[in-house]
Amino acid sequence: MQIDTSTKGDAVLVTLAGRFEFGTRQDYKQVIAQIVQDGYLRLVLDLEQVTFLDSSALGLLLLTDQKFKLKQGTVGLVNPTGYVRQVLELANLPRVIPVYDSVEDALQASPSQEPGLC
Amino acid sequence: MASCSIQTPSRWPHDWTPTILIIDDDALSRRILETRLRAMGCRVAQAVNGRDGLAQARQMRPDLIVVDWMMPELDGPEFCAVLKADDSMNITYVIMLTAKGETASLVEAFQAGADDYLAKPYEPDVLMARIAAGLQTRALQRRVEEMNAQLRHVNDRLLTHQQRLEDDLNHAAAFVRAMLPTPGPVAAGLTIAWRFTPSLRVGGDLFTVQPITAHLVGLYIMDLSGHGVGAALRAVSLSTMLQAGWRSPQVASEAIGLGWRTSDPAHILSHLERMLPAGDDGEHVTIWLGVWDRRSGTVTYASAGHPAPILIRVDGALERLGSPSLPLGFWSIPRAARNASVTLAEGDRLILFSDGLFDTFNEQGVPWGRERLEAACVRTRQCALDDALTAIVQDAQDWQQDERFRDDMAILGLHAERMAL
Repeated sequence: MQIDTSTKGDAVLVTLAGRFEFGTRQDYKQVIAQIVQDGYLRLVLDLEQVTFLDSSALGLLLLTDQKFKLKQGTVGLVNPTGYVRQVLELANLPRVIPVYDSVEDALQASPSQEPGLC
Repeated sequence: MASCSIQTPSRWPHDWTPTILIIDDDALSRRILETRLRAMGCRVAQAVNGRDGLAQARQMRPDLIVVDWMMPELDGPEFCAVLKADDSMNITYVIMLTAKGETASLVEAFQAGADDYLAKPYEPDVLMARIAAGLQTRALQRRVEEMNAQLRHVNDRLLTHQQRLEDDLNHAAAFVRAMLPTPGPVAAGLTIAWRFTPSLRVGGDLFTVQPITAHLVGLYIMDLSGHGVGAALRAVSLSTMLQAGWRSPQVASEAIGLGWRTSDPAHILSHLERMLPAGDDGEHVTIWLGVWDRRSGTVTYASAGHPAPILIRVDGALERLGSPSLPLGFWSIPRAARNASVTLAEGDRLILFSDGLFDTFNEQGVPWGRERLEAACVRTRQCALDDALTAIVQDAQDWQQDERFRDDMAILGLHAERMAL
């Protein structure tokens, strides 16, 4: 999996590409740990180029979200496609982590905007 | 004799004393050579002809042999040919000396297997330099042999270690399988069958169907994220807890402090959640847990992120047991501790499974998917339960064109045999 990081104002945009799974967890964890350590409270994960996502990755996304919420931060997911969108929806993940159509939408979302509980 | 200008430094390891065998019928030649070789720090033996030379070579296994061409009783080339035909000695470095001094004899010497060749009369320093070069070759050979021996040793240890791990894994796998329910009638009115294939030797999928009381049967299927031993250990400990809870609610309540309510799945899951926070790698568990009451035929259930089981009514109608929910282990997930229920009638069939069964891809990268799984469940509803599972799993295998599943795979079928009393 390829991981690119860039800062957008007070947010960090992480662009993932390829297979997001058990075998690639270390790379992802390192990147996220660095962002948390740098003190950023807004994280946008661009999933558009992710082709596969397994249950380990699902757990990591939830864990990431939990880490940011602990500091009153936010995590947003952007544009998962095809199979990945299906997996996220089957797992009901959008109920916990908001999913946006574009990076711009995610960046413009108010930091306090929380997904609705149901 | 010209003074020595060619140095013969010992270019071999300090802890190695090269052994050299001189085979020559001329005693003076032997003695002169021996003196110089001893001065170089070699151990030296002498033989008076080829036959004597062979006997000594077999005994002392020299690193290098200097052999004269012309000798009674086995000459140089004959000696060489016998030596080189012996697998245990054919790497010995052989320098052949000859008075013939013709090109033809050089070829003959090499054909007999000599490694080097020097024509008489020779400059002693040149012979010493040739010997030093031969010993250096031998030193390299020795290093390769040592490294080979070390590699063999390491390899043996790795193989032993590997075997031990294999044994351990096999024990672990047997232990996990022993936790699975026995196929067939599990209680009056309920028959089960299952298929279970971890992607590695052991994995994170586990399920059971367990009579709790005369009227109640508990069942669950769980999937611990990740694969292998780590996932299996977590699955086994969770299973042990659940099975103990159903076997002895009183003991479970006191020992685990669950406030165990046997037939309240949502309550059980909410307690599990507190005991099982997600790990650093996001490891978590998805679980579907139900309790079947044979008096009413009702299954009361709750789910945390597990793919909804499929209920196939006797008339072919299909129901999904569970609304989308999220896995256990994350405090950030709001969880409604609510049970749902459904009533099984005679001939109804309940199919539980892990995502490894339907999240499997064909060559074009298209997943088999839930819809195809559901269609397979409906299509096979009139087969005997065990045959139906075989057919369903076969469909998935055909789709992925592989007998082996990439992920841990489990499927558990329950068939309501007759109306509950």
